[in-house]
Amino acid sequence: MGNYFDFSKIPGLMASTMQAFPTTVKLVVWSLIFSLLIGLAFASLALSGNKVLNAVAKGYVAFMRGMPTLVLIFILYFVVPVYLKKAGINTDSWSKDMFIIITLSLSSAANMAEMMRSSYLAVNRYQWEAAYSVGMTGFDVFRRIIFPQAFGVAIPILGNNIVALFKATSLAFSIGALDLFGKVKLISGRLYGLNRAELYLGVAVIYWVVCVLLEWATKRAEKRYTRGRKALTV
Amino acid sequence: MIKIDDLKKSFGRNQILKGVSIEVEQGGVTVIIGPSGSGKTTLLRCIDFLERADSGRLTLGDITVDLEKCHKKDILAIRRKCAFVFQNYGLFQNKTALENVMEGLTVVQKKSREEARRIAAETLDWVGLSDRMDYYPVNLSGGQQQRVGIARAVALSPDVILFDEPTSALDPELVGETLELIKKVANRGITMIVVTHEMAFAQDVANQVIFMDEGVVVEAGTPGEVFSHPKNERTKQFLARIIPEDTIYYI
Repeated sequence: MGNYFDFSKIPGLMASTMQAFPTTVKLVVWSLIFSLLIGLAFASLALSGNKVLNAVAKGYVAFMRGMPTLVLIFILYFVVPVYLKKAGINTDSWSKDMFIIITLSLSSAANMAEMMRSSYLAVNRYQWEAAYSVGMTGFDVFRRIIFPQAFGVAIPILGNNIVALFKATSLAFSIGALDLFGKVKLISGRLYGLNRAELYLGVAVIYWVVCVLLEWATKRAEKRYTRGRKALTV
Repeated sequence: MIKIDDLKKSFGRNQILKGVSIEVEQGGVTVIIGPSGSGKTTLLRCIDFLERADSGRLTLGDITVDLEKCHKKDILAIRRKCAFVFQNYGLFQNKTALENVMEGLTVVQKKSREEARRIAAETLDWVGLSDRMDYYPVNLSGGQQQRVGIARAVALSPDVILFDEPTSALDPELVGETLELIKKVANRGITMIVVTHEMAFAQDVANQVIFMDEGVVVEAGTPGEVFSHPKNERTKQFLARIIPEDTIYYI
């Protein structure tokens, strides 16, 4: 006995796990891009003032909020392709990564939409009036006055959303994609279950370090974009 | 010259302005007084299209527009001839005092950054804020913020500056110095329309005083005419309420 836990195994296992890091980064970056685009679309609907479009945006957000990501992955990976095939669209050539990106984009888009909507509304409407009064066009007002302030409000939420997205990529293993955790499952299988504790701890450390770095970057960005918001003394 | 003809504006079923016509001469200072809810602020906001009037005509210099159906281009043209000083200062929160003044000069008037910076610095110096140029609005007192707001308006060298109760949000001790500054602006010969409750200021600076009540102009004339010899009963009542026993003091 005495072999319940072997620290010396961890670095090697972490190195093997890290081979899948580029895949996880790929999943995060693409999901982030698409979730921001889809989120922007739904935020625009929510702010449009049109009752029908508002309801569409609200419905989407409400639906995604109540939908566990793992369930959505299974629906999109196992169920939807069957119906798509009937409709003449063959998804056999689509990679697992692609399904993960679609799922995470759709589920994160709801958070992104809410982030954009609330940040936009957090900017005082007097800022519009002030900018109009100096003769600026609507586009200039948004670009130079409203967006920078809304962005400052959004940064901490954006940081949270990215961290959540990053951690959600660990669900990719469930359909056999080879992200960080998928790789861990693969290694674990090859070792017949040996050194599981070291393996899981190692991958947890990887996730944790990346999250800490993201949080640090968020704080820095927030400081930079909210310079006009806090009083000097404090 | 500014001329407003038969301006009407309702919010829902509540008619705020019931056909207002006023005329302001070039270089003159017009002060609009009247009880709360009489439509003074709404009138001012309609001139700068911060509120869209239902009908009426507006002449500003060589532009005349029909307020009911005027195009974006006209709105922009009018706004670029006007500057607005807000009750709550209306400074861009994400910009320093200097940047607040520069913004319209660079983005709207397309001046170079150097020229805009020079004009902005000069104007801030003129309002007495040369040592606060790099401060964000949150780090300025109310009086200082309003100075920046006035500097921003003056720096644009507009045809007219519209002041919407510029001292109402200030601490009493800061009201006097802000009024002094507005007087200084008037002495530069800029056309001004000022909505205010400061009767002493009106008497002191105005060429024309307009008394509004319930969405109409009740009386207009020189300060002497309106304050000392009001013709209309409503004007008399208002002045009696606001200036007890013929003394004038800051409200």
